Amino acid sequence: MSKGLLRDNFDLILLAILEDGPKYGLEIIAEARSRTDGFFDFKEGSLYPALHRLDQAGLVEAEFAPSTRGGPRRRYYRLTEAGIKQLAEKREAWERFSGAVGALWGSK
Amino acid sequence: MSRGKKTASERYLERATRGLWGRKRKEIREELEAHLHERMLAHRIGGLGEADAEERALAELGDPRAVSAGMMRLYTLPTLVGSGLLTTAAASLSVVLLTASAEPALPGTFYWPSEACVQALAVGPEDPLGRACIQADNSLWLEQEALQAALEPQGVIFSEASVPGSSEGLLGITFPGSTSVYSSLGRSNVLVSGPSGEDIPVSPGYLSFWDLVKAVSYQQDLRIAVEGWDNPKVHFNTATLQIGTETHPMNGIEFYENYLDAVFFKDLSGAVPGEYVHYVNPRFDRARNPAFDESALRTVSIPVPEGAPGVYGIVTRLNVEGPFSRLAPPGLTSWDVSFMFSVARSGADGTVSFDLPTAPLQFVKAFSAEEPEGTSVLVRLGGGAGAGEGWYEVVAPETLMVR
Repeated sequence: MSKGLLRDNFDLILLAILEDGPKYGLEIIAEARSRTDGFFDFKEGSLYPALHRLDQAGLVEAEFAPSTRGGPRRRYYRLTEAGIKQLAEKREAWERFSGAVGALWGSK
Repeated sequence: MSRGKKTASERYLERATRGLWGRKRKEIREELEAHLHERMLAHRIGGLGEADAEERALAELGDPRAVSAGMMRLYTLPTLVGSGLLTTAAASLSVVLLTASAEPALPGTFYWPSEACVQALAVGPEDPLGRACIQADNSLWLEQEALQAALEPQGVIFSEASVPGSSEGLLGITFPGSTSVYSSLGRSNVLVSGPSGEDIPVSPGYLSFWDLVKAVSYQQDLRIAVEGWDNPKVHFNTATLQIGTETHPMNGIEFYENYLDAVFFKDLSGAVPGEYVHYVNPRFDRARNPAFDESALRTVSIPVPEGAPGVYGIVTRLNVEGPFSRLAPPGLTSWDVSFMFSVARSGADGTVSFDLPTAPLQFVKAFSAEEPEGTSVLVRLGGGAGAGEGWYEVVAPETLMVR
């Protein structure tokens, strides 16, 4: 898988995970692993540049909130309007793509 | 010069936020700190001791440079370094050229963060001095004025730039025969050691040598060669910069091991520094950690081919199956791109002696006939090499990094 494709999908996964509401890094990691059956395993550190990239792109916004377990504050990410729109578009594009490939692959 | 004892987590946080400035750096540090705190807590609840919990949490996070490289691409060098289209990228960013130029704080080209900073860091980031020092990091800082004074007569062109709306600065450097590289420029809030150990705020501009080397390592048309040991000369194509002065000497091994790894790893792995490469440098830990266990290192002497005197480096790739496998998180296949790096000067007896970890025997095996393909490689660094030549050559074995 090319790095670009992986990165695009990684963004899609992150956006989809945030669809249910704001989450912080460790929650996102746990969801990414469980929702992709561990397929998208990654160094946990690499999540943060990805989240900040989405933040810079205006697709998510972030704010600090106190941790429920003490210690340093957590940084929660939530989807912006642009992020919701982007997710819908990417999802649609993905479905079209996988539908087309499925039709090609699965027929006969 | 001691930089005090730091925990592995603190070292991780420093590495992961290196090259970032101001509020962004503070935020990213806090975010990662929260991650580490919570992960370690989970591992402790899971039954691990404190040290093991920390080790596990850090291993899961991976190479801190993957974080700093990713963040720097976003916040410090947006698309400038990665794209290769520097001129276009700079134009599209509306980079504003600055004309301001102030007196240099001190003559000379490099400083360490001061001892006072190290002490303040031990107090914690709430201390105002500590906050300033967090930005100071463990970097080797090049004083901008001194850098320009040394390189401009050699045809190197500088352009100071800032991104509008940001307090961060960029220094564009065009070496002879190369397109420009950009490196972030510290402007304030960094304290460094003066000649008598006094604290001097970094102003007007300092840049991190490591960042510069990293930026340079992306350039196809720019070659680095290093000459000498203490106070070494670094050649960037045909331009030469001496690192260190009589009053601020630069120790050879510190320099080679800590500041040239970015170039080395890229060449040997084909990977962008920080993205796939994890590196282990026990000697570095020993220099930093007064409680370092000496039995973890042993001295290994290797005959130098044809007895040629010079500066030699040894690089090894550690197998996932090897003694460091306990550090590798499950399923993390990229972990096998793991390097250990050390440097030394050859002696009069025609051998070169490295301080190597006691554990991985691959170092020695690689040079024997039993394992001709080898997992380690001996290189002669550009000692005595003129400008424009490669900064190292592989001398043994000929086959590199073959599994």
